[in-house]
Amino acid sequence: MSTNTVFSEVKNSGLGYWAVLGFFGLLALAGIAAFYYIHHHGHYVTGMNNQIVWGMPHVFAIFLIVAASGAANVATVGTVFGKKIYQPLGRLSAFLAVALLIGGLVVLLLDLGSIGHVIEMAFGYINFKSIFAWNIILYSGFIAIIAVYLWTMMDRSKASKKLYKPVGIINMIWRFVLTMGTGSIFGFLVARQYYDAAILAPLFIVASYVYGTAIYTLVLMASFKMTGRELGDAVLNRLRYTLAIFIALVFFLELVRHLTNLYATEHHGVESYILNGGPFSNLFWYGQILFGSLVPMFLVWCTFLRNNRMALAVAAALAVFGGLAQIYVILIGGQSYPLVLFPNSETSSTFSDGVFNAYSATLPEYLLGIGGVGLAICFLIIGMKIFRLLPTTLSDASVDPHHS
Amino acid sequence: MSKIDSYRRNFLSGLAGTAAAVTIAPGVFLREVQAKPADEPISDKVRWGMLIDINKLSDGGDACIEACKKEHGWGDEKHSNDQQDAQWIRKVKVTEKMTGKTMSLPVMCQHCETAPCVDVCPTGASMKRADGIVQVNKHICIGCRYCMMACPYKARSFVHETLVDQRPGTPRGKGTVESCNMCVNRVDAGKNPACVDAAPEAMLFGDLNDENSQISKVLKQYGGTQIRADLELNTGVRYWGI
Amino acid sequence: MLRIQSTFTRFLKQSVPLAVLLSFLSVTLLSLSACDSEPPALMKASKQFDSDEIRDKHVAHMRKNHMDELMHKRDETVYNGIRTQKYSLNACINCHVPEQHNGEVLRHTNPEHFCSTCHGYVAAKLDCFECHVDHPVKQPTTSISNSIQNYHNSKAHTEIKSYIQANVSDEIATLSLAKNVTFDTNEVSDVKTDQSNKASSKKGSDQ
Repeated sequence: MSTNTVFSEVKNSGLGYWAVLGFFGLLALAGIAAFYYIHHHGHYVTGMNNQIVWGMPHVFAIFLIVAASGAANVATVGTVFGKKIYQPLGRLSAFLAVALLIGGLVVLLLDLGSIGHVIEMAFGYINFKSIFAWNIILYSGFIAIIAVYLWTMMDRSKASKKLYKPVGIINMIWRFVLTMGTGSIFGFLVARQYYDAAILAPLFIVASYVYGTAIYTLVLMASFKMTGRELGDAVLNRLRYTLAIFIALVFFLELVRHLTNLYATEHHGVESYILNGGPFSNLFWYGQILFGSLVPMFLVWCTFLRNNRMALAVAAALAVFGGLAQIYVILIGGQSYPLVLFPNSETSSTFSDGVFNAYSATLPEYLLGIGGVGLAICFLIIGMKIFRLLPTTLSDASVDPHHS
Repeated sequence: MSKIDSYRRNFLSGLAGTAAAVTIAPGVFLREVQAKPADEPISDKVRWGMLIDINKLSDGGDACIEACKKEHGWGDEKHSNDQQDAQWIRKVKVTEKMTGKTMSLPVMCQHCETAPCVDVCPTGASMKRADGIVQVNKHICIGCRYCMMACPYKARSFVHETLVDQRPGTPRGKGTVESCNMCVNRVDAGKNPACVDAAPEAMLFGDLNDENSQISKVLKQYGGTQIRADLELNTGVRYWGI
Repeated sequence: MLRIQSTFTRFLKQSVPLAVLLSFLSVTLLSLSACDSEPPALMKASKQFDSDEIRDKHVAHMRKNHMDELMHKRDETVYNGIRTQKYSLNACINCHVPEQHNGEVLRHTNPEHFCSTCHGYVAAKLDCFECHVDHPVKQPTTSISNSIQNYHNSKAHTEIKSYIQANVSDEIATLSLAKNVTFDTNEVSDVKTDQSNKASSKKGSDQ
């Protein structure tokens, strides 16, 4: 870690700070209100049903959890790969990761049908053949590792300095497994036409870098602007190109996944449903591919827009939007396509066999999902006030002494 | 009727009189009447299974579905919409695309030997009993619906609203997942599942592990098709005529 | 020395609010314990024990242990398929909750319901009735004799019968057919429980 970096908490706690905190606090409260509403009535007040069993809250939850893993990647690059310029970014990166993870997990938890039984689960049996059970350990372990990681970055003792790199490496490996675990939630569903593919695990890993880097960029730009700190192009350009490269990688893996599916006759049905004419096609082509991938890549790599901060902010925001679209298409689209009980046959029943299942999320579901985002940002903003997460400056001269 | 009643009385008094004999040799004597002593745990020597001859189901299984509703009390949810209503068993109409051949069959939990729902459940609420019956232990079900994602047969339902007046033998409640449990309450009491009793001409229930049981004998002779046999789940529910 | 002193004063400063909090808590707890701890009057069970002695034992045991007994029985039933009457929730309900009360079904949402009276009094959450029925219900069962009659008339039965007769020895065939004479296990278990009750009076006293 560069020794000359000075960190400070958010000091100017004027109206602006409380307004931002209040806004996201209100989102979090709305989420909690939505939870009480759903919990009191039962899930019939949502758009979820016996066909689309996971809906909008899960889109947000999975997005936040995957993004959490990616947000910590900025710290990893500084620690594990020894890139000096990333090291001042590490504290915010690690803390943001925990904030996003907690936001996502709370949404996941609050959508459960019988949340009271979770307490019994904590004292009871856990089925280790379940990816969910693994994820419980992976997520809580991640929070613990990040806590130690933050300590190694923020403490001045010799012990913490010595542990900085090993903990960074453990953190990286742990994140790798964690995101793979999240992808495997779908990858191991043998009977679903759109899931059952091992490529979902690496796809989720790379996608996590996209979501995480995008959110990190937005958070860094906003917090530096609002606290009046200097943010140079050197740092932003690193993030800019990281973002674009990972978007390209996700694009490639999606291409491979769909081409593989298109080769197998078994998957023609679901592929044409998602890609060509089904209710998810527009979201896939315009949401995920055009505005979520191609436009951001253009905004980053177009030479006219070099060092253009607005272009970067828009690219990052679009990448977040594209990420949500991607998760929505995978999660809802995959469930919408009917299970194949009898190949080469058409089926029908009173239980929605053989039909494309429609889904439209209701307000409480949106509120619950957005509430998770609100909670994550609240947590982050409060963290910025309590801990010294932000460097006082990230000017080009401070991050790179050889900067011309 | 009276003949059966007298048989039953004799049988019971005999059983009570020879309670000691029953406890000493439970398997030998009681296996064929499909009952274990009520205070003894189920055993993995038994694997319950079901055979459905869809050509003999003149109504495609409607009577079975009605019997199931009556037994377990599902299907009259007040607030849930059609997509949210619980259905433990349903009649699926299948039309082969090329030939146009149609058939109707009842589909419910297939009671897999290696059930995906059991594998994915984080709490162990989705469980397989020693005797092969797959069910949900609602006491510890957190309502995450992962099992519904994993089930290849779409056999599971989630209870979307508060319920009252459940059947005493079938507890069901908001926020938990449920499915056909092969009428465990009846099987434990030595009865057939309700659907089997509703269509006795087309359905057969018995112990797949006992090579002398009727179901094992006819399955050995004629085989029995599994839905999605390609998944190699070794289902406990087999069909004739699909 | 100075440092120690400052630490001490800091400790004192910190402990003052703590002491205030503790004294407040203890006063609250003391006043709670001084409350009238007589439990609320419960609805009378429909069946009564033969002697007051057995009843008092039952009451004392169940008042303290009903949750553990129910929890144990719940796992025995779900995992092991043991559906005897003892400690079965349905058996409790059948005896402690009337079928009708003031001309209405008595639900657990009513404070007069046997379970809700106490659970409301001590503000303990009552979870059972999220899934279990909270009042006695006569289970509508399909007539066994009818279904046997149907079965004996059915074609499948004749086919299976002829198949078995052709392929298997007579002995097994008769046994296989006897299979369909199902019986009510509750009766069996009752008989058995009676016997075991006689054998061990300790076990029986809980009932």
